[in-house]
Amino acid sequence: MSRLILVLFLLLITGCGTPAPTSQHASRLLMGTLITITVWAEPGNKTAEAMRAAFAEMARIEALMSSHRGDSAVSVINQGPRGNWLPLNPEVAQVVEEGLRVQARSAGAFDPGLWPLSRLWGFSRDPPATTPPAAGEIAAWLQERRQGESITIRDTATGRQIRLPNAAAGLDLGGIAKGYAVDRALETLTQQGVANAIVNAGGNLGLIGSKGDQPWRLGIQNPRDENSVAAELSLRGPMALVTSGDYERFFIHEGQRYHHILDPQRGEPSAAGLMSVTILHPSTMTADALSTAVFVLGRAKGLALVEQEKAEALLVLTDGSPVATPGFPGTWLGP
Amino acid sequence: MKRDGAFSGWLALLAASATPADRWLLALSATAIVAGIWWPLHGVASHARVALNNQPVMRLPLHQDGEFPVQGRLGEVAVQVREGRVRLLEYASPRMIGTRTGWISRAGQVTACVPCGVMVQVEGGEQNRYDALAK
Repeated sequence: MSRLILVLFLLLITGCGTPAPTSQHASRLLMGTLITITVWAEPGNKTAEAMRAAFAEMARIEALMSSHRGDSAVSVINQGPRGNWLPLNPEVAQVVEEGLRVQARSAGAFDPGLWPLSRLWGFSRDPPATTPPAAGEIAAWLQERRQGESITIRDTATGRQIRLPNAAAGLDLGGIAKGYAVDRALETLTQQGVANAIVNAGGNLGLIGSKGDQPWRLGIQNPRDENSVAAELSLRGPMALVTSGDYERFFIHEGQRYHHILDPQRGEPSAAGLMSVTILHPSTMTADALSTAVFVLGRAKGLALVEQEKAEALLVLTDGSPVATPGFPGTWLGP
Repeated sequence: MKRDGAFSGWLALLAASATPADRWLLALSATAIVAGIWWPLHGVASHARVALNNQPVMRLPLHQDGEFPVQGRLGEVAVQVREGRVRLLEYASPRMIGTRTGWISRAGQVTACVPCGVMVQVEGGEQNRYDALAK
């Protein structure tokens, strides 16, 4: 009898309960970068299927919005005649409109219409450029750009339409579409029953829920040492944390660093005194656009924009020192 | 038998009922339970999953050192395993981000050569300090 009690006791404590939630990770190469989805849930087919659905959604958005794909909706517009009204996919319209809104709020520091200038600089070319374009080419682009109006969207009885003013304008949603794709991936995960997840698109983070009873633990890369972290913070979703920096895509030519965040007013990489900008905002799409805008604006005007947009931010200046908004929850760890 | 709480009572009942063989069985079960909780959190990284163009091409046990070539879009890349860690070495990629990432060994860590189309992700093992990095 005592042996029976012992066996029953052992069975009770070893048990056949459901597996505990853990962090599960899956990664894909999409949108020209590394995308990682982390889900806090019990392991199983349901989680794996939700991740697959989220990746599929991001691939769909890439096919729709990439300027690098000749058959995307965005490329069809870029290949169309200038000055004419062209049909505009409603989903692309949503992203372009947010881009134009941030453009207006940032006095042009963010611009969703820089495709010809982006191609001139060649950061997204394969292989990417290693020398700057000729000064004359940049000057010609600036002159033509200043002669044109801004990109315009209108509603008609048959749908939405877009007009690109001249050859100096073309849609490049690289500074906002990744953020949009992250938001859509999170919505897809939620629809699939996932409550706690991070979608990381090349360092643009969108998150929902938390890690059990603990918040997500996040780091912000040191702009000058990719193997170390400059700041850390704990967050619960829904929230987005997006960084733009001069270290992501760059080349060094004759001792000077040329990075990919272009100043639309100068036609050249922004030189406003910042190495990186991290934005905290509920929308990954908006945070994506704001991180570029603030980087181009620099410290004073950038922080004013952050306040207007009711976001929080951490700026790393070119001397390596941090400047954070009062509500930014991170801890600076130093360079 | 002392009756100073239900738990003490159960322990006393077990102590009185258990033979030496029972006590061995109890100790073994307790060890297995503790290991089952501790190992997933602190165990050595188990495997590295290698993918080319998002399709799995190999799964490498991290307890076996070696170098494994993968033919990527820009040419060959080497996946190296050493002492429970893995890294990716590109030879022709423009920014060499995979090579600069260095060794990885914690659960979920990834290294990749994006233009090559090659990605390596660690399965199992100790949890990373951060759930994600903004960069």
